[in-house]
Amino acid sequence: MITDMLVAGSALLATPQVLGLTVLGVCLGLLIGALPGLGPLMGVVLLLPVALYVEPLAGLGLLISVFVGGSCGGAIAAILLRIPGTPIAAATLFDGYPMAQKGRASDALGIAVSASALGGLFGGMLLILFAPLLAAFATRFGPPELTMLGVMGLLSIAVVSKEDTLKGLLAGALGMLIATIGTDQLSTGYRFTFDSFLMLNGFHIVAIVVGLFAVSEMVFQVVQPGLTRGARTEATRTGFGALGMTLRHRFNLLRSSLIGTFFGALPGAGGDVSAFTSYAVAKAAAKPEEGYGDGAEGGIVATESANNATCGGALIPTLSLGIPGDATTAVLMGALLILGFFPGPDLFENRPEIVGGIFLVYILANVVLLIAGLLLVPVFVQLLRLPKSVLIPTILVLCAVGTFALQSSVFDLWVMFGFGILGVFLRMASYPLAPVVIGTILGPIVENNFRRSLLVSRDGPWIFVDRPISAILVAICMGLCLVTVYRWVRGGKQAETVAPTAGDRA
Amino acid sequence: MRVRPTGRPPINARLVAEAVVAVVFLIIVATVFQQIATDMTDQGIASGGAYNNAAGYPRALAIAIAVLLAMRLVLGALRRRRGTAAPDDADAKDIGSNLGRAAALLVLFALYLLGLGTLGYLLSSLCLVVAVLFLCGERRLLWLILVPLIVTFGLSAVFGGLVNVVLPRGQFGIALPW
Repeated sequence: MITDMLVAGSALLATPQVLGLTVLGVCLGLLIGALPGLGPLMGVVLLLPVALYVEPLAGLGLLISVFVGGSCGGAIAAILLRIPGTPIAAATLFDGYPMAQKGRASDALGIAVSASALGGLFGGMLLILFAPLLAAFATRFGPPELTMLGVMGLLSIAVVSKEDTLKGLLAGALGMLIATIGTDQLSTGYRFTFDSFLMLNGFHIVAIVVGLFAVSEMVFQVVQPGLTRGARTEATRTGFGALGMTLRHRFNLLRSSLIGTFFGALPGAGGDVSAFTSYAVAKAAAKPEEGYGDGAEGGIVATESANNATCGGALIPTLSLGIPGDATTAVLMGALLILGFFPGPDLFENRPEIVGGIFLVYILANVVLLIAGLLLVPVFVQLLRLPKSVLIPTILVLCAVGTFALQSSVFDLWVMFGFGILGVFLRMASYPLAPVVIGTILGPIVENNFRRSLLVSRDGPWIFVDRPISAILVAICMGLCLVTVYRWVRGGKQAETVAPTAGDRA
Repeated sequence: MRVRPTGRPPINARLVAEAVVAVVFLIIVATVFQQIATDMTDQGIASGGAYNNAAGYPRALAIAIAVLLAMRLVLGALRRRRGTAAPDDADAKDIGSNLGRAAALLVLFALYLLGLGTLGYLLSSLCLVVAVLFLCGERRLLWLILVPLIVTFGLSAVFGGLVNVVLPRGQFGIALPW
């Protein structure tokens, strides 16, 4: 089955457009990831409108390669400037920056790129092995299981995320509610359209995502100091010798890639959790003379291989179950849906060439990352000198043009603007934005399957516990709810213990 | 002797944002119930079985939001009372201290979106890029001339030339040949 998919996918892959956009995507991803404040998610969001205008696999290839390149690009700023370009590269600066300070910046960058590419390839192999297995298992799923799977995905993202769980749940519920705007798929009635024909199809997911993430990010960037100054970076030269240095840490590389893939497949955990975890494990397993925290090669190998392996891991539940692991894969899933491909077992059964093509594009993106990354990192280092005063207006115009390009709709532009303002307030109030997007994408899946479950049920809502797999998923959801309540109570108790201490001091 | 608290915790940007978000959530919940009671009832989709009842799911979500928001507000109030409220984080602090610049960027962007329809993509984009560069503190004349031209024509070439998107031409009908 896997071989058939890969063979079918290779026919789609071997076109100049797919190959060209994959290479371009990796380069753009490296650039976007390297610029502090941006990251793979921003890259995927900004290029989403472009991806919808080309052949499906070429568009998906562009987005996936931006995801891959962006996950690695963050290391450049972390190593050279001590500012992680993306949160997932935060752990890389523990050893990357000290190594650069010792005059080994080129080695550190080379190891980061090599470890990222090799970690990504490992994650890709696990993706190819496990996604079809999971999809095959998921063919047993009916509407009740799909409903509970969607609820579980959203609950786990809210519970596992770093922010306040209640805020995560609120953001997820908001996303699901936003998804109800427009024409109801079952009754064909109009919901929350306010008699406007512009609202009949609801809000376009791209307008929502661009507004929430890109526009709000520009508002946060414009209030930073020193916008007209570019970063000062030293000249670097990377080469394939870095690959040898990385392979000297092969056990660390394998272990960290495995950790990264595991956390990637776990909805909500993401690249930063996997990078910090693999760093902690590598440090614990290392000999003291390796000098972790003081410029150890192994530290960079651990964090970078883990955060790129996370990409492959995150694609496993996204493709096989239709449950995105994080905001970036949620946007990728949104792209798949817009292109008419519904992630899940049906995609594996009915469109194996697309699944195979996605697998191959992901592998190719990591190979390109290894080659282009090692050769072009010095160029991207120079681009760090670009001041933010240039980036902010460029990204704003890109947001507007990209959103307009979807349907030539001015209404979409105002939706984007509205979600931009909402994103600013949500971020200021420390609400996570990822559950809003994931809720918007999972909302229709959950609602339609929930209502279909009730339609086929003879016992009303008991259908969700009558079926064994659904019952297990219900139990997991209840477990996640209990975790939320436990955290809430514990948070209250901790507050009680902290408060008297503060009072005593006074 | 009974000690009365003398000072209130300082109002921070995060608290203001939390209040704004709470009001937005309340408005959304109220709108859901208002629409179910009026428009959706008129259409006959506010009741019935799973197939016809399009109101049950949004109603459940609205109730969930209301309950979660109430829990959040109670928790927040308790924490503030005990002096263990989360401190203003860096993001909120930055916006709070540079509110004028953040608001100016949003106003400029709104004017740009309005301008797309009247002035067209080329003129409005040139104006936006110059204005934002100026807002960011850029005063070098060469940058103020070159960056808007490169950004505007570059993105026009990508979207108009490569992706074949017809960008807004505005009242003056200005468009590039691609």
